[in-house]
Amino acid sequence: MKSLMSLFLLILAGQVLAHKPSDSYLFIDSNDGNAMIEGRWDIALRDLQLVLPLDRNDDGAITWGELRRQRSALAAQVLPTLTIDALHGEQRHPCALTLTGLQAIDHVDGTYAAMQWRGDCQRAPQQLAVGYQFLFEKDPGHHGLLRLEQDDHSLSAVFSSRHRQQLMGTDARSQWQAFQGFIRQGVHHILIGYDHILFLLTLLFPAVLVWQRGGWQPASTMTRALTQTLAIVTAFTLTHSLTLALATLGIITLPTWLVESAIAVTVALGAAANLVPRLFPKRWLMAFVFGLIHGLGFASVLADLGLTDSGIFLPLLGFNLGVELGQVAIVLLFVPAAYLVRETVAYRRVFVPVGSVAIMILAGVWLAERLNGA
Amino acid sequence: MFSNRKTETLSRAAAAAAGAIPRGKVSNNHRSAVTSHSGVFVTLLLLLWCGATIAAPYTPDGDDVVLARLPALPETLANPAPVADPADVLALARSQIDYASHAEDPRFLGYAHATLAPLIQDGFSPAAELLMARIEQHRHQFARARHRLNQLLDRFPNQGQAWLMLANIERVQGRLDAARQACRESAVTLPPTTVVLCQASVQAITHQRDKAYATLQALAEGPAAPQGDSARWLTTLLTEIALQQGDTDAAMSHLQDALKQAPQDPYLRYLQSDLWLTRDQSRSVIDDLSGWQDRDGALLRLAIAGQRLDHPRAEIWREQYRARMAADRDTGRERHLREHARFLLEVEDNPEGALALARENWRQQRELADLRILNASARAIGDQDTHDQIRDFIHQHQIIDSQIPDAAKGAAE
Repeated sequence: MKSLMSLFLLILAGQVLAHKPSDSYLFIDSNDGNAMIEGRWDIALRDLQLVLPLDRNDDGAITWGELRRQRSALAAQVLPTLTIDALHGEQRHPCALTLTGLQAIDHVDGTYAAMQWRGDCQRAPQQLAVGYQFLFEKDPGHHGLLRLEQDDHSLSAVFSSRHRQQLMGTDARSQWQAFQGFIRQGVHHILIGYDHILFLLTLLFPAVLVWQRGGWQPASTMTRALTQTLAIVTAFTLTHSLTLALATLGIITLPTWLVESAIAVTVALGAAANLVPRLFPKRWLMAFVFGLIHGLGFASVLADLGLTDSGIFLPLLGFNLGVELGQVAIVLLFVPAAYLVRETVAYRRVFVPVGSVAIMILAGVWLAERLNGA
Repeated sequence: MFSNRKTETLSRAAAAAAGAIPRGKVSNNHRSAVTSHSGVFVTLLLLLWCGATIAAPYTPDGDDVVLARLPALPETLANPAPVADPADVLALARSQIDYASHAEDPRFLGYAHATLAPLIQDGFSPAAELLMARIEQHRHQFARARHRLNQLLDRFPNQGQAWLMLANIERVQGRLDAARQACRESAVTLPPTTVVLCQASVQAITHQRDKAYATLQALAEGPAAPQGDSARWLTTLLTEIALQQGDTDAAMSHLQDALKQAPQDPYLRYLQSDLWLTRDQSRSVIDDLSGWQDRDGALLRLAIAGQRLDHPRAEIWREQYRARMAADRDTGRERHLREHARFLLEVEDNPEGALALARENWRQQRELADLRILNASARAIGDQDTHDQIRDFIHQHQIIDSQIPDAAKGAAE
């Protein structure tokens, strides 16, 4: 009875088929800033035999010679089933793939052909669009396992008859890239943000000194200088991080001219504190309070960089991290140098007061400009 | 980049020691390493280090080096002529699926899929849908197969074969009431013997086991004894029930009957090996399955038997199975979870890993074999959650099995 032909097979549903299903292994190596990509594609000889007559003498065995003689057919018929486009911004550049080498390689279920290839993409890809069309016509159960090495990142994806296109580098990598970008922006902003630098420096000028007997005296120990520095920097960081976050999240909104003007005022007050320290006995407290205002200033920059609602946290974290890194760099450059010259009369009697007055004047000019600009 | 010289040498030595490269260029140093135990140990470390699935490419020594042997196929499958007539398409697809099952070669499921594609796309061919469901079932795409069969049966409720297949899927996935119902429905077109076999296959794991056994024995000895495939199904069921009862002698005797009808059937051969393993006859397993090392099911049992006997090839079998597990993981295909769990439990002494896989497997498959591995892994680490889950399942369906202590005396108690 025909309908019973497959009856017995029915009870074997739980039984597995033991040979491996058909898979190919595709490796792509791409380096930042390089328009050339390269890679390797391992295809089982049994699978190749379906599309190319490898076993010429029909003896059921595929020899190295038989495979080698099909090299040009591999280049002409098999490699074109793989397409790679380099995406750069809005532009799309097809990468011209050429077969550069042919070897054999052993995988768990036997020997595969290992095709080395190179792709010329004209422009260095930010992302790769990979299309895979091999063997699906003959075996819809076939899979292509892709591993992309991009600099020191590794991404993988699986092609199947239902998923023949993969866009590589959009998820983990570009997020990481964006994160790095925000760190760089943070560093950049603190380094070019002379008002922030000046504020920080004016507070740090006397960090290596102590106010005694109506004048600045060198701090007696490194520990004392470091403690002051650390207190100031930490206080500043805490509060500017707080307002940066609050402003970025839209919890605080203040007009830019007001924030910028207030920043100028903080710089002027910081300088004034160096001249009349009795009025400002706790410098860390000043850093703490004025940090609130500087954080609002950072936030406007971050907003200009373009944020979407979908991803505020990572940019915020990255940008803040960048700001702190830049700040640490400034402190590391300034404080040791100031410590070395702290005992000189020039530093205590000339640099600190004259510098502070100059900064006050400069801050006054900014204040006028910013108020006028509004 | 990929042809780092050092890695290449190491991984080729490793692969050679694991028996993966019977040909080509392997230096004498590497060969001598193969023979020593320390060599094997070093090899295992290297394999782990290199990543088991990715070796390095090499250039074979000469044009005559044989890289691969194509499977010896019947003429109809070797070079199938293009078929257009639906009857020919169905016949070709059927023989491709049969071959896939018989030779345990999943590539032929893909070929059958390609063969059927025009019929599936064209319109509604019940026969093509049935074959497609068989492909999906073999691929463990149970939900897809079930959906296909239900759609087919909505339109053609008289498709007894589809009911039978549906009953099987329901049974495999542990929906025993639905399985019984589908068995009943299959009576519309299938002969009574088949319906009896279908019902017995469900009853076999429940408290109705002994009744099912008696029915099957009566059927086997009676005048209406089935022939051909049905006869194999019957003897296989008798074997399985005897095993559940803990009567290995009876099981072996039924199994020999079944093997007489189909000596090369993989399911029966593995059943036989499992029986030998429960009877401590590991040597027989190795003798029987050594010629089938390219099959995962055989490799698993060889690894278990080899380890028990401290066989010289035990490490190699174990390593090969590991490599295949790793390859399965890389492909993202959830194949062989039950077998992998058994490997981790019995060969790797890794009950935690086994339990994780067994639980994963349990979400898909709920045959007795799945329950057994789940139970054994959970007992090995005393996992109460899983234990409770097993008890619930046993009570719900009144499962009875000598290998599962909770179900040994019958859940009805």
